[in-house]
Amino acid sequence: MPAVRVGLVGCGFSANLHIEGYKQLPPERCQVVAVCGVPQSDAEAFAAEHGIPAAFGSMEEMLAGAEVDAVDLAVPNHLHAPFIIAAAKAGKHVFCEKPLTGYFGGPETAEDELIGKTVPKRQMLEATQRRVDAVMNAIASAGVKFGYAENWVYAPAFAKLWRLAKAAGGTILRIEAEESHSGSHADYAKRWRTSGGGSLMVKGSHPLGAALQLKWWEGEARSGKPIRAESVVCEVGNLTWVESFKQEQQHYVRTGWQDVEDWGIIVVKFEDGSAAEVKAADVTLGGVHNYLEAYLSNARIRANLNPNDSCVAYAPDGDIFEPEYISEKIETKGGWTFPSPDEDWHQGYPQEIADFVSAIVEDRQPVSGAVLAREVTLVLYAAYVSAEEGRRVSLKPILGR
Amino acid sequence: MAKVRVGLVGHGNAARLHAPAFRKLGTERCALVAVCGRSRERAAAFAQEHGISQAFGTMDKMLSQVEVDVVDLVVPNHVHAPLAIDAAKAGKHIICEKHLTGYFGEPDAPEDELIGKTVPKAKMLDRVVEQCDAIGRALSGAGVTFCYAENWVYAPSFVKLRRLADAAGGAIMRVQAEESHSGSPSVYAKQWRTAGGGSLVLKGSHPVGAVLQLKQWEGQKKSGRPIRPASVTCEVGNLTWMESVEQEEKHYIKTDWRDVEDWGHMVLRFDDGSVAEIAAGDTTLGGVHNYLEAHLSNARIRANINPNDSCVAYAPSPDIFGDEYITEKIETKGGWTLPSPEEHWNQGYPQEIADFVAAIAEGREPISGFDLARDVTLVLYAAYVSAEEGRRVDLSPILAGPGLER
Repeated sequence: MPAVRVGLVGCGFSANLHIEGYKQLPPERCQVVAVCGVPQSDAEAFAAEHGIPAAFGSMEEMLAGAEVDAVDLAVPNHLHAPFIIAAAKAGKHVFCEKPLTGYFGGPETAEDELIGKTVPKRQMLEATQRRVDAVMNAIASAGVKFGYAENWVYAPAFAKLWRLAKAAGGTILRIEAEESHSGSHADYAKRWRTSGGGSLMVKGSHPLGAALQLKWWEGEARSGKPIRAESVVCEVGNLTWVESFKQEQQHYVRTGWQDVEDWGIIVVKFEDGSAAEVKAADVTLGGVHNYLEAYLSNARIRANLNPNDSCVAYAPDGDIFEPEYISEKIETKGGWTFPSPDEDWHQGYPQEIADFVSAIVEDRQPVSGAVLAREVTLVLYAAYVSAEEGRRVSLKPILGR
Repeated sequence: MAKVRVGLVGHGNAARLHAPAFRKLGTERCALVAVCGRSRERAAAFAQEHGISQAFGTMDKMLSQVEVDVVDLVVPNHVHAPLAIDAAKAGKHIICEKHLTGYFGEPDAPEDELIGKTVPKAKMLDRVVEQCDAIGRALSGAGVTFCYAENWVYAPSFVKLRRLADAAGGAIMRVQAEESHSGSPSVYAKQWRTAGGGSLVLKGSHPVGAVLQLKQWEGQKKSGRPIRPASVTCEVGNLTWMESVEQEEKHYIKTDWRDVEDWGHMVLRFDDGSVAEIAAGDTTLGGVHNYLEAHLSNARIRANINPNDSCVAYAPSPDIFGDEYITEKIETKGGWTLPSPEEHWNQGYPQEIADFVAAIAEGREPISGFDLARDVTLVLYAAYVSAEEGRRVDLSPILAGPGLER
């Protein structure tokens, strides 16, 4: 089979992560043949930096002007759905950054409206369900592959955890998982209009995706039928709005959250009676804290995506290790640190890209695909409904069976 | 860049480690074109399993019938030197598993002679110096690249340690490093005649290689001149020969070491005044224990090659995880364990092969090359002299030899 030709849509942070993944694949396997972005000059600069032969100002122009087999959507969240639908209609396979989609306001919503405060979450969930359906229909009717870029599913420590769990064969009774750090720098993450949610959406989607995948796999391994989420109970909060915090002179965690939560916890109950506690926060010091722990009936396994003690360092002053990288979002390089030898690898980015490309070559769906993308999105919005309405939300009518 | 054509010499464990690493580089970059081994049938089976088109019974035949740019010597230690010299004379680049060479007895010594007990270590060292010089001359004469497969140098956590040390810029004052486990199961490892030494050679060569590379690199960075080892003081022992151990009914660690040590510890002093403490043991429970810790004047950095806590597991009984791999040489899968998500990657195997292929394609020295291979070998044998003679051994006259002409 000839090399898979990829067109990158977007040239920002995610595009940079993905291009490193593509570069690790041999050219006879996969080639990034074009990139598009706004403004086009950004795409051209990105193309020049990474040796990509063509650059365009829009996905439409790229699909008309370059032969691509798959598009990789590394664009803001609110653009995922329309771009997936357009790419699928053009017969292209799609790789999409998480989350699949969300609620970002209606066509008439004012740019600066704080929809996180004004729009009922139930309404958001219903709008999101319709959008998810549209995306799923577009993918299904075009018969294209859909890669959901949930890197946790591919992270080596998580992959190992699953292999151990499978080998142990015990029941996964309880899962604890979390992604937290001291807060996103980007302004777009602080408003629902652009982010589609707060900590749970932007961070929690990772541990949630891994937890749902784990129970899915467990069911398939045990009975050939996935174990699915049955209900959700959720709490969210804005810990940086606490009065005494506001009065502090210096803030080490990010502030300025407008209408999205900076902390949240989802308790998922599965149809087999097991539970998962999924946490996400933008108020956690000490660098990105990503882990998943599985409590089985006959074993206990923890995947420390970050930090882990592969490398342990100490410096009496914060500037001593400059300019060497330590790990994502660590506030100081002083004291004991856990520098990540290769953060992309530990987080599963190159492994994810390799699977997406293999899926096309081997004519199968990727390990992390449309099914997981859909479940994560709907469970998240159902969780927001639960938090707002203060009650458990049954997932059966939302997810279908 | 031209494609690098590789001929594998050997088809054992090391070949199994290397073959997938070559394949990962892609067929435009590198091609495994042939394999040879003492048993042509087994070489052919290996070739079939790994999609290699040709198999031969000897390296000579392989080199005369197939166009290869580089031979990968994944064969027992005692044949490294003669094969490396032959390959260099044939104008081939060389990838060589550690160690470069060693002392395996005189050609006429009986197979079962316990040379570790009978031959003075000073004589061994002399022979090894001669061998290293012979290999060095062959390489210089042929102008080929020599790649020394010291994976520690490429292990991601060690590479990170080096980058942090570079960033911190402080003096590396003290290094501690160790490779240990509960003992090699193979018979060949238990006799000097086939192994060329005990724990220090088979295990200690890894931390020694990483320590020497670290100090060499530090010197190059700071003054354009490598920091060289100046002296070595060493102790070795056979802890499994202890009376009380021999009396125990059940052994969890391997026994039956014949004339090689099952534990060793060396202290290196460098020409900048810094020190390194390097340990190696075949008597350590709990799985392979590989780490290097650097104590700088302004920082402290530890590379936990294995174990590390990327993944942490617990099982109340050892059969629960079934066939799923935990980590090299772990005695039980019960209790708390630290399973290695991808051991090869953590140990630096694919990274090492990628550097070798790139070095050959680009006509440059690999990060782990002949100079390191030679230094490690000579330091190890000087350490044995120190242990046997109970004195510090000055390394400068031993390491001063010709090395590579460039």
